[in-house]
Amino acid sequence: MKKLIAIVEDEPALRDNYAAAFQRHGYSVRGYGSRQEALEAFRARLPDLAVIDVGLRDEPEGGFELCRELRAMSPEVPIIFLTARDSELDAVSGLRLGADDYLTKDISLAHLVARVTALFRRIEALTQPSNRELLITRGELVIDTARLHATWRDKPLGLTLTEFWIVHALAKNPGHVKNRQQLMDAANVVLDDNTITSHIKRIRRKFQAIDPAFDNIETMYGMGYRWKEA
Amino acid sequence: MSLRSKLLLLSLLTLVLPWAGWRYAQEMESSLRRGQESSLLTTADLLSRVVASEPELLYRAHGLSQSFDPARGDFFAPLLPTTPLLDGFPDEWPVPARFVPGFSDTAATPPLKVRLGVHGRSMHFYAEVQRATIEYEVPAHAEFARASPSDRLILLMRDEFGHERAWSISAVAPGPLIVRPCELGMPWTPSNEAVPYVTGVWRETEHGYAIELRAPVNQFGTELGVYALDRTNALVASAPLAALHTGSELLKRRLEQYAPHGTRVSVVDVHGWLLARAGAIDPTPTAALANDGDGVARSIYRVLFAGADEPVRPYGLPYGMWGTPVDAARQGQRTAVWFEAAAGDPALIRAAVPIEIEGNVFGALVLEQPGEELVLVREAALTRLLNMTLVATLFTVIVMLLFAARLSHRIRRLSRAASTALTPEGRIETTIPGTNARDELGALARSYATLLNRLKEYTSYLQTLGKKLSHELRTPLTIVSSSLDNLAAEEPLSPEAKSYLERAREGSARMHGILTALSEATRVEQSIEHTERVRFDVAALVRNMGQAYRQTFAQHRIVANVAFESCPVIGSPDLIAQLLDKLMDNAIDFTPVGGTIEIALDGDSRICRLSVRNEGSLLPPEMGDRLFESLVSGRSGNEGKPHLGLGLYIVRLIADFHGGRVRAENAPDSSGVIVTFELPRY
Repeated sequence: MKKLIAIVEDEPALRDNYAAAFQRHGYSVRGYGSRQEALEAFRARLPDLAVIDVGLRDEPEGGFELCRELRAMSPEVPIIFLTARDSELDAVSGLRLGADDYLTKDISLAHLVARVTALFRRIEALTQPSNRELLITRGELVIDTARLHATWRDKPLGLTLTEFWIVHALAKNPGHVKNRQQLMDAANVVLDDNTITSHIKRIRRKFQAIDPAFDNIETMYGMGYRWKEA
Repeated sequence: MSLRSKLLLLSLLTLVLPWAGWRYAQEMESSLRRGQESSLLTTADLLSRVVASEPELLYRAHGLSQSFDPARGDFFAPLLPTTPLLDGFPDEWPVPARFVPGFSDTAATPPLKVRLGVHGRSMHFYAEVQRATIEYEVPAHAEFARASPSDRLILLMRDEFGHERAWSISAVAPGPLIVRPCELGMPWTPSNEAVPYVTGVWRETEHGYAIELRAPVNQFGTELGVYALDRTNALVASAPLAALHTGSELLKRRLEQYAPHGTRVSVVDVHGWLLARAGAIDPTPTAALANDGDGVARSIYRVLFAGADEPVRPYGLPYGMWGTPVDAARQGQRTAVWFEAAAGDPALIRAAVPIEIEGNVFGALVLEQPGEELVLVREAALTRLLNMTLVATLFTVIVMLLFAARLSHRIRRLSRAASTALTPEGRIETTIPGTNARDELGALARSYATLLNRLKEYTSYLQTLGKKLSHELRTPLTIVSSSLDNLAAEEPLSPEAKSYLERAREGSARMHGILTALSEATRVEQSIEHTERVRFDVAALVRNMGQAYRQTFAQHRIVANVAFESCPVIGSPDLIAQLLDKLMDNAIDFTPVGGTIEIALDGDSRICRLSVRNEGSLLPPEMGDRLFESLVSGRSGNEGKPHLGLGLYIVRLIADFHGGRVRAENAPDSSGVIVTFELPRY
């Protein structure tokens, strides 16, 4: 059965372009131009994945509202936030609401589709038991590359996909410095240097929420970042 | 010259007022003086005419006016000022303060000294004779017995008709005199009776004897001779017959009649001898002047207005008056002179006029009146006026000065505000003081404030333009790039279509790059808001980054000079790294291949100084600190990456966050550009 992707985007041209890309990859798509529209549809039938534009024309924070409401309806549905604004505030709010990923509209369609696919894979993988062979352990960090899921001291970190790929890139070769370009490539995103910085900050915070003394991700100024072996 | 100095100079012009007032007061004072003099002279003229109408009052004998000369032996009998005492002492004849012939004692004591004086209707006669031994008369037992020989004094009197008379004066012992008429000529035989109405006293002195006697004036004629004889009638000493000139009691009485109240009148003859004096001067100043409240003002006025008063010189009183203005009057000129206060007299005016009879000067009349140095001060009203003028002028000057100071202060404040309105970082502070005032300065301040506000609005519009543009353009750009993505997925595409697609993609990628650069500043601003400040070591950071740059930018020579072991600061290491990246980007772009870029970290105990120096073209001088403004680029031409002039703006934002300052200047040896960032140490 085709997965249903809901796209909430007030710009019709964009909406249609995204829809076309998803459909080409075998997903079925429903597009909505406003929060109201989307909410009514969700109440009738939940989508398998929602792509929400944060800046809906009529309500500047409508996207977050929708996310909260959708989450209330279903804790598991993957939600991707799309935004033209890349201010940190948005990102923080997005995370607090439990979105699974946060992307800028700069992203190419190919990357977007890849993200969606990866998210679906993760959900499926989470239902499977973890395969030991695909686990990477670095100290108290355990990365499950099959389930795209990471834990610290056995507690789930709740990383978004982007963050997961960054941590994976760092921890895969501990002690090696990865520059920003390499991290961006690993995360399959086109981000500028500052966003990488804020991603790293968010990643650190998520670790520190579990372990306040965490400092395994080391900033090498001018060069990049590396995972410090304990 | 500043406005304040100009206004000060102008306000000094108001000093013209008191100066004019002072000159006016001086003129008033001198004209008041002239007035008083003139009235005194008029009175003197009048009095002199009165005296001239009775010429006989002046001279007892007609010839005396021409030829009277004490040096020749002539006698002058002044009106005695004090009531004479017949005691044989010449107290009645005070020694004059200046040399008066006949009355001043010379060094040598003469053998015969004679003094005469008139008092009331009596003539007083005094003589001193030098004798080693004195022989007195032997008292006669019989009433009409002949006088015995003794030392005696002979007085010879001759009147204007030639009629002569002689007296023989002797005594039996020091004490009362015996005065007998005697025969004329040697041996001056005395008769037996005494002369009536004549009394006197004989006194022995150190060197001889002295006689003082009193006789009615009418006994004396116009000539007098005095002979001192011994018992043998030999001449011991003599003052041969010579003219006798006296003061005039009658004249004195006449003067007393006519002299005005509070003045003193004196009449001298043509040679200067005092003939009569009447009247008195009030020695104390009038009560109106003793006004202590005006004491300060009076002394100030005295300094400002004092006329030239003559100091008092002795005249030779009580025998005569020789000196100014009497001398001039004796020559025929009428003058009045002001004198300072001296010797019991207050300040006076002396007016002297000649006494003329038929065109000839026969004497002079002197009128003395007290004249307060400052007539003005007497005029209380004038004084008040002067006071007021001075106070008004002072007040005006002060007010003008204050106003000038205030005006100048306001202008300076406005000028200062205007020059600091544009901060070195390019921000505009729009607090212009004094926009509430209603005058021209207020209008100027208001138009300045308006100007600055417009400028500020425009500048902030420009600064946010980039942000807004990038925001607005993002969505259409996304539409374009997502459409192109979809187009790429459509197969089949002709080769031409593929190349068009490629070009379109490249173009939109470039647009994307521009938008990203445009919004970078906003992202930095926003991230700065949320950045935590931690304590970190700038020295370590710079060393690490220097190493990294060396690897990254192999085409240039990168040198890192870190002066400190460590330099702790409070801030965000990520932002400092970003700042350094931006500076390095600029340096790399401007430095030719193989050129040197030097990163240096130094400073002192208070600040860290991080500088990036690159070889290459210099900054245009007029850019100044505008380089650090948003969207200002010092570069020309396009070389690959779009230059939006945001790099240094971001540097400045980061500098501000750390409480530091950044500046860009050409190297002292003009080899390149140095950008310096200073921040406070922890």
